[in-house]
Amino acid sequence: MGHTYLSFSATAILQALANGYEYGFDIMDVTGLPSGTVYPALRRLEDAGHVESKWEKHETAQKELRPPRKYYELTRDGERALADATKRYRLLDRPARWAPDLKPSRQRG
Amino acid sequence: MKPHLWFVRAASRLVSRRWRKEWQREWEAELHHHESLGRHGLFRRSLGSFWDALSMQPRRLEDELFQDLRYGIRMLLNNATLTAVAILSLAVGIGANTAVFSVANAVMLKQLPAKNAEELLVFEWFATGGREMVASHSGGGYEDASGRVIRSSFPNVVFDRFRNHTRTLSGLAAYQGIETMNVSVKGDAEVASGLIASGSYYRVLGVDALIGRTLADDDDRPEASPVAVLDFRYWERRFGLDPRVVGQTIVINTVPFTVVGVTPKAFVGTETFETPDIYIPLGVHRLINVWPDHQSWLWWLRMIGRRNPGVTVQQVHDDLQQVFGESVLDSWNARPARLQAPSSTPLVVPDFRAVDGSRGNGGNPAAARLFSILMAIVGLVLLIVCANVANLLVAKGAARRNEMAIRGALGANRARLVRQLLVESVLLASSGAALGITCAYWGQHFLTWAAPSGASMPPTELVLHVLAFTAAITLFAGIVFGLAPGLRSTRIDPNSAMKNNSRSVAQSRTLLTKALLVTQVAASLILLVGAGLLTRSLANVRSVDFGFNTKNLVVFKVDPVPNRYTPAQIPHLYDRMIERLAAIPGVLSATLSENLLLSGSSTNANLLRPGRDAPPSGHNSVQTQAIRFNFFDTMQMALLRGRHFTPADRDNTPLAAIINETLARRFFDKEDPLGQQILLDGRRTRPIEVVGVVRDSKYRSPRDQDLPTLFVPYLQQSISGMGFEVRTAADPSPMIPVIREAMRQIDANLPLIDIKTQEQQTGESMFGERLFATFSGIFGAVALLLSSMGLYALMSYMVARRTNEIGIRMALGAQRFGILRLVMRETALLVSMGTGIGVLGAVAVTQILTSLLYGLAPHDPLTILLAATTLVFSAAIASYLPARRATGLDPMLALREE
Repeated sequence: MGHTYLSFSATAILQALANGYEYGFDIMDVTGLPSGTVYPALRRLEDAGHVESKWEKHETAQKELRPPRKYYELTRDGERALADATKRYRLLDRPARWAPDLKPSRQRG
Repeated sequence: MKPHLWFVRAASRLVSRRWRKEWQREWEAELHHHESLGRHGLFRRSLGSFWDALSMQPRRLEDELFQDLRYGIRMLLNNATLTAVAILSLAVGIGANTAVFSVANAVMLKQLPAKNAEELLVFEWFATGGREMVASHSGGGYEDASGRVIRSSFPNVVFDRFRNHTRTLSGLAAYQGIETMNVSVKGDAEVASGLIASGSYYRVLGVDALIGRTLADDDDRPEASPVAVLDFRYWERRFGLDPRVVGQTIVINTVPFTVVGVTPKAFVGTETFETPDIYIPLGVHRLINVWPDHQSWLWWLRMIGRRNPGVTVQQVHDDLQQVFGESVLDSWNARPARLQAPSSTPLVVPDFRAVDGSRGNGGNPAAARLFSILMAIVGLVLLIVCANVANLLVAKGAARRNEMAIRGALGANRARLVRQLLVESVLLASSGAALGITCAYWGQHFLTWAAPSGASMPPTELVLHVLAFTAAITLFAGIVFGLAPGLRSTRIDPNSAMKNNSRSVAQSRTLLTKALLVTQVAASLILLVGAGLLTRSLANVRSVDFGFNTKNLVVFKVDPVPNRYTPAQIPHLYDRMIERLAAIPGVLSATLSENLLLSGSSTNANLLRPGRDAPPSGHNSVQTQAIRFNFFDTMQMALLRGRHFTPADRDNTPLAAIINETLARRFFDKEDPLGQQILLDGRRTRPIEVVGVVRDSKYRSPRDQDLPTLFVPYLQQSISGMGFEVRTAADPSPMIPVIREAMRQIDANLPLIDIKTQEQQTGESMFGERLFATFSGIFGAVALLLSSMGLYALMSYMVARRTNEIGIRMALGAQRFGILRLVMRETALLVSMGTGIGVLGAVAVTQILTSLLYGLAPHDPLTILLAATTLVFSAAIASYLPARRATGLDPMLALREE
């Protein structure tokens, strides 16, 4: 993947992923971006190879009696792109307005 | 249903089918999770799914288009024969049309590269009946639609007075071509063509020099030092584009000229097919001894003018009419005494007119007719191509009804199926177009290359809008006909379509297919008839009796006048040359004539009989040929009556003439021509006595028919350049270098012009016939092939579709012959309909060939019969092969066939 110029919102989304928020709706909550921005941006990041998506294991979801969710992860490229972009967007370098009740949820199998 | 879930489901319709399920699941899971956490604003969040769905759109298109494309290529390769036929047809159609139209554009339609070319006009004159007040004119003319001969050369006095008296022209230039000049550059002599142009020539045209300068008004002063301007192509050929040519001296007909400039590449002169090598000023032309100097009775200059803005052609005519009448009268009165033959026919001033000159002079109607024929041929080819491609695609589309039905049943929506067909059609048509452009590029070069050697073709370039037009037509045909059957098959109910297909009598071909087939057959027949006519005409011309022996003959021309031989010296020079030629071992004899035979040139005169009324204008025109006394012996032409010329027939003895049979028949009817006196109007005042009658022979071209011809001893006529004929004992080609060397010994500075064998000369004179026979032959064959292939493909397809039905019929006891008849009956009907229409069309269309045909009429029944037979025969083969396959079917296998 070449060096794509990341928008502010894309950088924010990558940052959120790097901080362990990996579901679309969690990213919305943590970045404050609307769903109409987050999802298209995720698709683009995925096309660009910065992000990978996977489905939760079926059993995990069944245990909680809910449908399996799709989660997103940073790739190597994504980490590199994020490092580049945070040099430009200094503001994102420090934690800001994280929603207090959200914890990194890593309960996938 | 909860509103947010409902919205996501609605938005999911936007997402392509391939991603839809996953996409919907992700959104639902997120919303579900959100809900389970007890959060609000679910519906607001679900609205984002709409934007998400939209952001998936490019992916959908890429994804599906790629699929379509890949599938399309696979389908095309799957049907390789059909695809190849369609692509090649398209390539031929697009290529041939673009090439012919591009060349036609360059030759006929393109404006001169002049500023405001639409302001330019050229002048012409024509007889109005009676005897024109024209003492002598040079340069050819052409016959217009009403049969008037239109000429474009004027006397000096008309040019001078027009220039001085015009109130409607902003500039007027005069010019005349010189076929051959002896040009030597740094001691290296060669023949080049030239144009004598008034100093105003380039100013009127608004053409600037590429390097150096063009001719200026000052160059026209009689005391001006001689200058020359080079044509770009001559500069390229002779000087290798060396810019130091400006200021260099070249020697033209022994006179040194200073090169002052080169014209731009785009400028090809003002005459169609005649681009001169060197332009020299009108004021100094007498130095090079080509045209008689300042003889105001000779009509020899062509004129091109530029009208003032807003002035019409008619206003120019009215402005100059009176001046024209006065000038013609002055010119006529200035004619020398020897041209003042008595005649009782009243004299009239010819009429003149100004015509659009934006494309230069001599908007050659003959060339225009040739190109219109070429265009008709390639137009027919395009029609056949479109019909062929359409037919193939319709057949293919119909064959895919089943496939479409299955795909529909598996859930493909109609738009998707149509898009698939569109992609395939565009793929096919654009491959054809790409190949067609390549063909066009080659074809244009072929046409330029195949042009007669004497004609300099203007540089052609592919005309983009023509290319776009033909490509658009074929693409349109490809797409429409590729899509139409698909549209129909996507509309049908999959269930019935799939049921319908197998065990039943297959539906017959549609009206569209039938119409296309009939069109194709008809158009092919027209082309075949045309090709047949032109080929037979060529054969006729080839087998014609020339009236002299064309074998073992070397011919060339010599013009000693530019090399400063005086009229008194020339006969001695010719005698020495003839003696030297006759002394070469292997040469039987050598002779001279004013015009070489079958070279396209001849001399005209009006024949009068003393004491008789002149026949109406045009009916007393004869060809004349000045010859050496041994001409008939050398050429092996039979003298029928009277005597040959002898060396004693000179300028101080009574004038003698030998006439051909046609002249004797036409002018003397039942009288005995021998001993009769005749006069040549506009040439001689002394009567000429007929001393012999010679057998008819071809003079200008093999197509001559019954030309009254009069031979005179060349010593009894003013002498300039002549043609030499050398009869050899054996193969003449090896003699050419020997002859060259012998002539160099006589005068090394006298170039032999166009030395070749008479057979080569004869071949060149049939160039037009050969070109058209070849051209129409190729396209006739292409048309036949296309139609046959189309028919074959259609029949194969039909047999394949009716395999099941045929199996049932055979199982029920149908005989082979019955099956054959069943399969071929319909095709036979269509082919005979097409043939019928084609015959009618051919009779109507081949009229345009009339002027090209020799020895047969455009509706020659034998040719039409032959063409029709050929077509029907190949159609029969094309449909018999698949039909025979049908009769060879094993009923058991055929019945199992799905």
